Amino acid sequence: MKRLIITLCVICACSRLTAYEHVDSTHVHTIANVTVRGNYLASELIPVQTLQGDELQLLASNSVADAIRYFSGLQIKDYGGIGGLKTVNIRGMGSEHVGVFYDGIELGNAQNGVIDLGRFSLDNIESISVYNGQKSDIFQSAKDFSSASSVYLQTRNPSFKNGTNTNVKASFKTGSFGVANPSFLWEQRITHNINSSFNAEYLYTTGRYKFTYRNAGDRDTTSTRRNGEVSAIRFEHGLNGNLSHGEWRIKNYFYSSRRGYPGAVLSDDPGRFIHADTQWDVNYFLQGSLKGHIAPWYDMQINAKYAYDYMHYLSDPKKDVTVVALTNNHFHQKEYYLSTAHMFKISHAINADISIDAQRNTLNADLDKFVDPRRWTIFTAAATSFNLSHIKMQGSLLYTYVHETVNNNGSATPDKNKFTPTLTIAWKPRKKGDLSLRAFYKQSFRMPTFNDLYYTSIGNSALKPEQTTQYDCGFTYGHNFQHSILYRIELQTDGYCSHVTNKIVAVPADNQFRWMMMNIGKARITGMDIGLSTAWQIDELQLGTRLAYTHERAKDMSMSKDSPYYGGQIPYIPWNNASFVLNGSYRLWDFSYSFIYTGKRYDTSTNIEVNRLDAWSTHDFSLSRNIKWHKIGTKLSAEINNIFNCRYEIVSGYPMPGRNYKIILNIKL
Amino acid sequence: MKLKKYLFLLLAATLPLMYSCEGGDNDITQNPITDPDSGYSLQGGIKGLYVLNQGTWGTQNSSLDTYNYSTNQYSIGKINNVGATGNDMMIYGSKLYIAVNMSNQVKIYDAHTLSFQKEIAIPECRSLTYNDGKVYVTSYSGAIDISTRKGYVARIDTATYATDSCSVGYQPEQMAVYNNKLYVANSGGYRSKLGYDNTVSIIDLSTFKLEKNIKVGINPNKMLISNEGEIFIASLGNYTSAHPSKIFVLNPTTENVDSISANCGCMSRCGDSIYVCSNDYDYTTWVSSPSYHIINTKTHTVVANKIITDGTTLTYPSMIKVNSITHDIIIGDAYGNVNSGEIYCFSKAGVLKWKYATGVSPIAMLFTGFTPK
Repeated sequence: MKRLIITLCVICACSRLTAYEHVDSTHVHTIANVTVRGNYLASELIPVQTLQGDELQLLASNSVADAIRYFSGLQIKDYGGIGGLKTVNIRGMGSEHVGVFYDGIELGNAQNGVIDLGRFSLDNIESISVYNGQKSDIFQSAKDFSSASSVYLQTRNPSFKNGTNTNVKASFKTGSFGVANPSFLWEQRITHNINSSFNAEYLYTTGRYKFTYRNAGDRDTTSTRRNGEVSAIRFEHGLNGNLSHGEWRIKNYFYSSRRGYPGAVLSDDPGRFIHADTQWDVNYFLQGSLKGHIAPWYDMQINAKYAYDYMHYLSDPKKDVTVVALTNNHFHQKEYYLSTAHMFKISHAINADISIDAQRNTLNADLDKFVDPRRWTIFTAAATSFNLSHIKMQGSLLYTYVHETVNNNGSATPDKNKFTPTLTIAWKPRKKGDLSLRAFYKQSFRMPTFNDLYYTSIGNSALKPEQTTQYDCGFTYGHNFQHSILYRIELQTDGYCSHVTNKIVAVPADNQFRWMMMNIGKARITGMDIGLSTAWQIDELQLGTRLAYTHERAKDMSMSKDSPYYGGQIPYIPWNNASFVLNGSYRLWDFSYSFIYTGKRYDTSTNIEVNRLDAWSTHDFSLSRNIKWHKIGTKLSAEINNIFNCRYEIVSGYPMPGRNYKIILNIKL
Repeated sequence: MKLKKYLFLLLAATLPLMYSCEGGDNDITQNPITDPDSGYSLQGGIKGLYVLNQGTWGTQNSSLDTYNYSTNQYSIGKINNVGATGNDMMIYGSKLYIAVNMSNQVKIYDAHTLSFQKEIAIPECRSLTYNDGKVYVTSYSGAIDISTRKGYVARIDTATYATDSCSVGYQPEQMAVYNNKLYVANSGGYRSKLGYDNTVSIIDLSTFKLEKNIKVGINPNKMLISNEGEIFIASLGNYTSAHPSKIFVLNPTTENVDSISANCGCMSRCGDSIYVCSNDYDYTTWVSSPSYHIINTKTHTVVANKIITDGTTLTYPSMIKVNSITHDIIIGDAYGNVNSGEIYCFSKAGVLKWKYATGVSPIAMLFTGFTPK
């Protein structure tokens, strides 16, 4: 079902409507429901892909990591099971270059630079958008300009039907892997301008599943994945308010989990040596935004955040005979963030924005002689946009200053100063036409993480940031058909070329036990992303299709030019991958069928047979029925995932589950 | 015809001259020789070379390459799924044993056909040696101690595959057999903050019980036995200038310990010379650079600080082996330990003869007395 609802604009529009609307109370008109289909894609200068609303909910997915697989131009590294780490790498530049934003404010992890997308269930997520480059909206915080690519997760915004002030929803999911997953949502309109949303979710899974692997002598062996147990709880509370000339929101987010790490399957005797490593996490943040339309020519926004992240990792020889030494580490991270952005309307075609962000990150750990780093980062961005009738252009310049201090006789990394520009341009040959061409150039960098710089004996405080330069050009074509069962078609194609220099790679220092992080990596990536969506309406049947395809050649240029493996494909990047989704709704039924194909890839840049990972494909299907029971809306869904029981690995040594099932019951009061 | 017969006789007469370490050219001899490093006899002379690649840490892509001396062909990945981090290998009897460290198994293959035969579960297995129908394997996974587990030596009966064990020091690495005793290097590699381990454990092979521990340098890893019956131990030190790597010499009869100041990592013996390659790490520049030495086992002195003479540079020498017939020196370069490695063959004079790309992170080599498959 591809019904485009301009939810984002509704919030902004609300504040303006209260100022400008004038209702004639003597005459009440009722209008029929209107379906608004906007030309969403063509208004963006930067390549963007979005999954939202019902299309997102229907996809048989556990978490953001599963849903994001249906976008082109990215690779998920998934360590298997519901609890396994899942990170995203966009256009081969590296997971640390992806910024993940939750309700507009970036999620941070100064310790290792990546966000585990498997921790974000779709329960409270309204939309997921992936931007190559940066969001093409110059009125944003400076940090929004800083990542090579971004993922925006937007949570549900409460909407109340006429006459109601309360929404209550509950859901329960169960199925394979011994999953028990209840969740609860309570949305409450407090005043005419303020509403509140409270969401709680608990997840338990045994993490057990059967898998097969090829053992020595080419024997296929079946075993069970153990120690993948996860127990996690999440609470989220949001307050949203409208002002006469603006809006504000505040969010509290708390997540706590305990999970086992099964480790890689390393051709062991099945079941003989069970890895028993355990990790505990607590993630908490409090963030707020205030947006105001202060004058016809001036808009302002303030964003602020406090985050606390705790991690405890235990590897105990008493539980696992292959563990030689005890590891029992505790890490505490804090982040403080404040941002202001000011947009000036210079003329009807020109806008300018100045944004300043300040951020402080600290890490305390009980590693031996750990230096407890503290980092100040100041981001300053200046951007302008030109909107002419056929051409839109945006230029931005980001200046980043980083200053670190350490304790315990360590040496802090030297201060960093960087200017990174971006230029985007979009051209519509015919102003009301369906075709739009665009191109962008962007430089960005990522700071070495605290682990890269200061981790005991492997850290290197002399590390420089990794740099990326991206070039992209492409087009979008979107057309609405009248009086046809096919009512919308959208095609998006981009070709791109990226360079990554000073890539931070672990290299051996003096023997295989002592490694060191160094800036010796270099990569050149070229590729093409294609996305095609269609929407159909055949009487009461609504159908939508979504096809994504990526071809990518990511060359590792780090080694010597004499090496026969110079320019080998970077680990885990397939030459080709594709996905297809067909979803539909008919009266009270909804269904979704999806297919993912990942081509062959290698687990090191030495592209030889022994390092090759086979191509794989999975098929998923889900079916839902809406049932009205007394006045309670219920929805029952069933999913079969990996229908043909494909045995595959995404990360070498971490087998993925075979065929699995899920049953979901949703109740709306 | 007669000329040919005489020529052949002439050739045969000169053959004995060829298997000493002082001379020899590129000929391949049929005569059996005893490999100085491992002590086993190669019935057909040196016909082939096996190279064990560790693979990328944390994955299962450890592999075995082979080199055929008659066809001069190097084949990558003759066994492609050795498992996770093959660390050491040996041929005993008609079998090839590989200690696959992170797969926690010793895998046994037919030495000629390379067909898989059996695997024996030994957690954190590291190194192999043999004696009198038994195979000995060092393992890190011994009894839990305060700081790290202690190590042990597992003894596998080659007929019944029954195993038993004997506890030794921390993180034992290579072993050497001399006079019915087993000498084990206890590296203590996981105890870097506590000063590693610095002992060699001596096990009586009749009783398979630990006799005593002898103190040598810290972090001892590799071992070789000289013609004079002394045990040369490469002790890796603690990677700082306070305790650089050094070679220690243990006399098994007198139990006297001598030392030779030479940076060391891997060793290979040929006659009275031990060829050493090392990676010397500089903490100020964060750069590791290779160094090479030749030691005389009679005088316990360094006789040369160079092996390569034609300017060829390696990034990260990880293994060395001297061909005692041709006196060629083969050195493996693990390069980045993540991408493929390389193998170089230098002549006695130190000039490059051939080189090939190997699998990921080559770690061990052995010569075969038969032509590889």
